[in-house]
Amino acid sequence: MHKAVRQPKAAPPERIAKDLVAASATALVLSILHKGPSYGYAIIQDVRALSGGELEWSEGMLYPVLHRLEDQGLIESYEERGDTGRKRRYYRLRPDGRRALAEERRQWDVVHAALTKAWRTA
Amino acid sequence: MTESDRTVEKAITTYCTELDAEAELASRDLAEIEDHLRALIDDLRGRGMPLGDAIAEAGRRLGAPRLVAREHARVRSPFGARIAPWRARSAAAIVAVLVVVGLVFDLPDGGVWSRFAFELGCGGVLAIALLARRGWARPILLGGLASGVAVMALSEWAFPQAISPWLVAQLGVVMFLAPWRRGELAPAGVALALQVWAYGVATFVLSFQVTTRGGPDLVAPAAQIALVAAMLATAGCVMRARWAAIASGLSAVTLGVALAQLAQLSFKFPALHPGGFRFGTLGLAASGALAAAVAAVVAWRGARSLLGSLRGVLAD
Repeated sequence: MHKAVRQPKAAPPERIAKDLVAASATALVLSILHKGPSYGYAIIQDVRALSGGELEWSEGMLYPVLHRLEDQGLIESYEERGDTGRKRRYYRLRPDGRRALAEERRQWDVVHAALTKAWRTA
Repeated sequence: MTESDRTVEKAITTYCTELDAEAELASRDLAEIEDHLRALIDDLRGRGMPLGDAIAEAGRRLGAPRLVAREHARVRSPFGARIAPWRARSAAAIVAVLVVVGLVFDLPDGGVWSRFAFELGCGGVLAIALLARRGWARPILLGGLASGVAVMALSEWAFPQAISPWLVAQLGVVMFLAPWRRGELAPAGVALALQVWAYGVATFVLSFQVTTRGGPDLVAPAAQIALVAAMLATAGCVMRARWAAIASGLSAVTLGVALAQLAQLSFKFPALHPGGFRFGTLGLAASGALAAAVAAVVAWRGARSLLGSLRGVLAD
């Protein structure tokens, strides 16, 4: 008698792992701010749009990332009245941030190229 | 304000209160989170979500206040935002020059066991701490040098003399360290800066002496207690100790007594603006007492424990 072979269920596509989300945070924030000044909520929206909704950040975690980048001198913040009339804190890239973004980009390109090659030969 | 607006505001206040209780965020950081919550709730409601669900979903997306607070605490000092590296380096460089100049030219007159030598030593330590991005270095330097600038500016205005390079240099450091944006310093940082301002005022008050046959007498001897209490309170504020509030309160009371003692002085100085100098001096003394009193309240509320801890001094 044949033993019934349990077919694995088709797993639903998983969300991007937390570690990967955290690792890509700096590169994403710097890239978004490279296009122009922005604020927290808009940055979250941009991340979601850029990743087609795959990159799901716990939104409160964005601010520590922004503050760390500000502490490192990569970005700077300023206040401006938003369209609602309330003051809103905007962030923009500093020259050191542009250099850091170039380096981030180089490193991610290396990782991307290495993975692409590895999967092509697998 | 409609009923739904009130509900939203209440939910935002509840979230931010929980967050603040966990991490003591600077007001500008809290305002940023508030702005995010408001935008998110508005957005969700705009997409047709009922109010209650929108509030719950916004809270879920932002994350539990405890977790968000923990992340904030990792990058933010409990004393407030750290300044940009170039500002820290610029301020530290000027302080280092002041310390070296003081060591070479003024220390031989003052002596190694003088208050001047102590302050020079503190200046050196604070310059290094600023470069090492310790959060407490900024408010201490800010309070100390701002009081120094106020005292020198008053003296140079009242008495005919050339503008001191010390005044210009200290003003430069204050400019680099000042919280130009509202809410940049957290309450613990404000308490620290105010406390050191009180220390600076106490040293100024102690400079008033009358010479009698028995030698120089202090006009306001109570400032001696204020000075020691302010030093202790500063150390306690850095350690986030509750006893710092008691020391701070003591410096407030004794500076108040020193103010009363100083007010009895006839102020017959050969000053360009004798009336203005009297007013400025008493005003500074009053500002020191007030600063110490406010610092006492803030330090009491923000204390982490009765005795405090040295752990945060190196690792904040």
